[in-house]
Amino acid sequence: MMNPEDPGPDTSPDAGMDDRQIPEPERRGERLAGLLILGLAVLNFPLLSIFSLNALFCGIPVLYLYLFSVWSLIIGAVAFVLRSSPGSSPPESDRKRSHEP
Amino acid sequence: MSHNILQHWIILLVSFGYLGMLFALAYYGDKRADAGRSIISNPYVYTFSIAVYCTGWTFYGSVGRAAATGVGFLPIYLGPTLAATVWWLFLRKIIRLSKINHITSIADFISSRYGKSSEIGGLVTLISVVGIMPYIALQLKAISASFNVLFYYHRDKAGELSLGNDTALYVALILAVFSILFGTRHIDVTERHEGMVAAIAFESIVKLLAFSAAGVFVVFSLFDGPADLFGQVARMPEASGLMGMDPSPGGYASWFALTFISMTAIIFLPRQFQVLVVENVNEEHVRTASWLFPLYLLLINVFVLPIAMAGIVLFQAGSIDADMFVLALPLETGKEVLALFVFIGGLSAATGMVIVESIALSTMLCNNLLMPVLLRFKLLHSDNMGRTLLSIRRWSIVLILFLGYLYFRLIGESYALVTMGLVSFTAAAQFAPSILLGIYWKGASRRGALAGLAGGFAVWIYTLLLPSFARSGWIPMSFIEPGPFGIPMLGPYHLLNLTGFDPITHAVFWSMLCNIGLLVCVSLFGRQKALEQLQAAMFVDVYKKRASDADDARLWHGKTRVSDLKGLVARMIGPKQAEMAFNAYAEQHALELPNDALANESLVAFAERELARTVGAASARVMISSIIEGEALSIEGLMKILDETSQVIEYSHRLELKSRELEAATRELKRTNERLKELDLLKDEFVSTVSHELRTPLTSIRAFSEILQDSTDMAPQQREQLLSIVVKETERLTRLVNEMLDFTKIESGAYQWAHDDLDLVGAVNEAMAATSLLSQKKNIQVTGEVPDSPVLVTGDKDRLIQVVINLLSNAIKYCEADSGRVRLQLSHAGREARLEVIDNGPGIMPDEHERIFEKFHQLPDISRGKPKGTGLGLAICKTIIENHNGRIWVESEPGKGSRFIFTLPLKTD
Repeated sequence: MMNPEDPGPDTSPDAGMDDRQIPEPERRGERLAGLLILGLAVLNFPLLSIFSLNALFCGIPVLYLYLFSVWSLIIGAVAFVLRSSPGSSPPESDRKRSHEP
Repeated sequence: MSHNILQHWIILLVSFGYLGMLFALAYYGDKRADAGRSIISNPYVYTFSIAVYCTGWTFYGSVGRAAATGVGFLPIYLGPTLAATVWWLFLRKIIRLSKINHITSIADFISSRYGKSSEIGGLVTLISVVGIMPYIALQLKAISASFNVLFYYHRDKAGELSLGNDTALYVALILAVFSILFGTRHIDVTERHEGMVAAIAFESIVKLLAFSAAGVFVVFSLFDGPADLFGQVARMPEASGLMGMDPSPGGYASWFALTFISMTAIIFLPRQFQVLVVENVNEEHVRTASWLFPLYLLLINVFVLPIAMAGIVLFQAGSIDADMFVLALPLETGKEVLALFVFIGGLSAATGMVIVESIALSTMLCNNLLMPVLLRFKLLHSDNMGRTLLSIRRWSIVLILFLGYLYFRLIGESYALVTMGLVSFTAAAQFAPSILLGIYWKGASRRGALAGLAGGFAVWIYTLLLPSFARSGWIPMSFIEPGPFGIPMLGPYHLLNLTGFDPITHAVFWSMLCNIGLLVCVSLFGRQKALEQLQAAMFVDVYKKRASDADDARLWHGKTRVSDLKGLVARMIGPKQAEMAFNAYAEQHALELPNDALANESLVAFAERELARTVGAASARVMISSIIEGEALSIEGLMKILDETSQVIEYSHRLELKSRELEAATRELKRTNERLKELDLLKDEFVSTVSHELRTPLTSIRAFSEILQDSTDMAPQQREQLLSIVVKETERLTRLVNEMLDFTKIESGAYQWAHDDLDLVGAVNEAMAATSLLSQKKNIQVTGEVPDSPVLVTGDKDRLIQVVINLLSNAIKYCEADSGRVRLQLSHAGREARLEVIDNGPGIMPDEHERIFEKFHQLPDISRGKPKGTGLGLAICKTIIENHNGRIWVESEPGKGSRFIFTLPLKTD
């Protein structure tokens, strides 16, 4: 989505050709895949069994609290990774597509 | 009875009022869409429409599941959350592909990927219709049960059973009518239903609000906040176990299996595919939906466990079906308005699902199952097939709901809501391998997909569907336990004696193993047809290369007339729309389209795409080929496209290689050029030096010769003197020319090096003898220190003597007359012979140490500013020594004399 002519965020004078950052969309994909793997790990055996206690924390069951906290964190992380970057072009397809019958 | 405000008619009025309002909203949405001002073109409506995922299952069933297994209801929502993390990667790809190919359903998508195969389309449709049957039954059960609870709660409960079944039938009929109204109102049947999307997005908001209202009421009004509620549960020994993990066998395996199938269900359930892909307006909306939809799931689930626990605390065990806790709790405490609101929320959840699902399934039934059959047997003769299509779809909806009702009548009483839903989820998961492998692996073939889908579906029928029939009494219970014909190994819940899993996990494992295994193996050991290869390449590489119109066009080889094409399209989408579409095409391509002209290939491709929007890719292909004379599919054209694609890739690869080579060559050239420029400069200097050197002796020779010629009366002594000068100058000339000849010979590589064993001591002595005359003339003392034993090396003796002479004569040349001292040392140094020539001359600046060994480089004389040599002496030395595998260098400081050193490897035995 980034315009290739856009200068990258790193515009310091000594940033040589080889130090340039990998284009944003690629990193985004890697981060999302990383989140998926992390999510699969923290929401499965054996990590879950650690929190599978018959106990309350601040009046709320520990497992229930753990699951919903992890859940919120994953949602927050996805929102963070997918936030619109300032350099991305406006979605040109928006207007075009909405007129399709 | 009279104290109850929830009369029959009130509930019905509110329900129909609500459905009527939805319909009005859908109508408004369609009107806006026709006017080109879509109300659904924003990421929030898109997200809420995806929430059609939350059905009567979520609304009622989750509570029931939570009451039995604690957090066991959650994987169904955690799975979609995890899947949504990578929507940005693969959902966007599926959407892009669907837009390009005018995909109308999931069956259309899979059949498109595998060479527009109608067999695959039909199989996917069959799996969907049969697989979703329990899911629709679930909704019917949820609505009728909630209605019964609402109506009979404070009344005589005896009549519940007889009327309950009737309720479900009425509900099915009403929903069928509404689905037909929502989805198949238009004559011009296209893949998009904007009004329906608007309505279900609204329903999603209603169900979230209703469920949250119930949750807040239970936690904060019936109890004193969550701490109070959970505190009471903790004191109940029979309920406190719900705070940990599911205590049932294979608890974690089941957790994993449920997460997995719900990850696939969120996209591959036919209705989810409909709202996520087909109804998507803009790919960018996926960005927001990826986190907002999981947030919706989180919010609607927060109160599930508290409501379930409150039900356990407040009701006597077994008095109320846990699936209906959310409705029973407000009723029990007399909050009837709230109960009505909750009922409407549940109604929203269930109707939304049924409407979208039945529309999606009817599209599939019509396009992928019935149309191909009708086309094949030439049963379609109507002039306006659009109408035929519509009635096919309407009857499909009725059929789907009837099947759901049938399943409910048979199974409904014996299964909890969630168990019924999970059966459908497992069926939908069968689509995941052929789609996910299909869009990333070109090798996945049509036969492979057919085998995988059929295998997975067969396992599903055997392990989940047949057992449910057994429970209803259709098949004897002995089918489940111990197994068919009394063979435990064949038992549908423990195939091959695999135990330790619950039925769902067991079915997921075997069906996925079978599905993926067959898909991969058959693909690996089979061959793809040309059209399959083309579609596979297009699906996998959609971001790299967009198939152009020209590509499609070359596939059609036969002949047809414009009027025939137009007629065909008109029969499907109506004459007016067809006329408009063809005119738009003609305008865009600046063409005249007379009716009797032959249609060119790109117009045929255009007509095929127009048809695909209505009847799906596979049927469109069959229809077009039915009116084309001659060979419909041009294999040559196909091969050409494939060829060109691979050629372009090949070319670009070679081009890259070439450009890298060129870059390297350019760098090399640049370096050489620099070097040449430097050499050119040196050469100029050399030429001027040499000509100077040559001219000086020549001038004096000429001058003295003229004097001798003119002065005949010169004294013999004087004449003698002049002649000796002429001789000396001639010698100098000869030396100069010899040096130059030597050097060019060595440089050009033409010189034949001798490889003799020689004693360096002898060579040094010869060289010293040769330079003794020179040193005597300047009265410079030359001393030599050589070892007593011979220093043996292998090489060219004459050349090595020349090196020593050059070094000695250089030293003598640069030393002051009379006071000059030159010392020569020869020694062994390890495996090398080392020779040093030391003088007490003016010395050499450090930055010149390297350069004096270069060709044509001359040392400016420090005292007189005029170079003394030819600039070749040391260069020749260096070349000779290096040819003998030795090294030569100088150590010197200005004013402290110089020390020229070379080393040569000693002769080895």
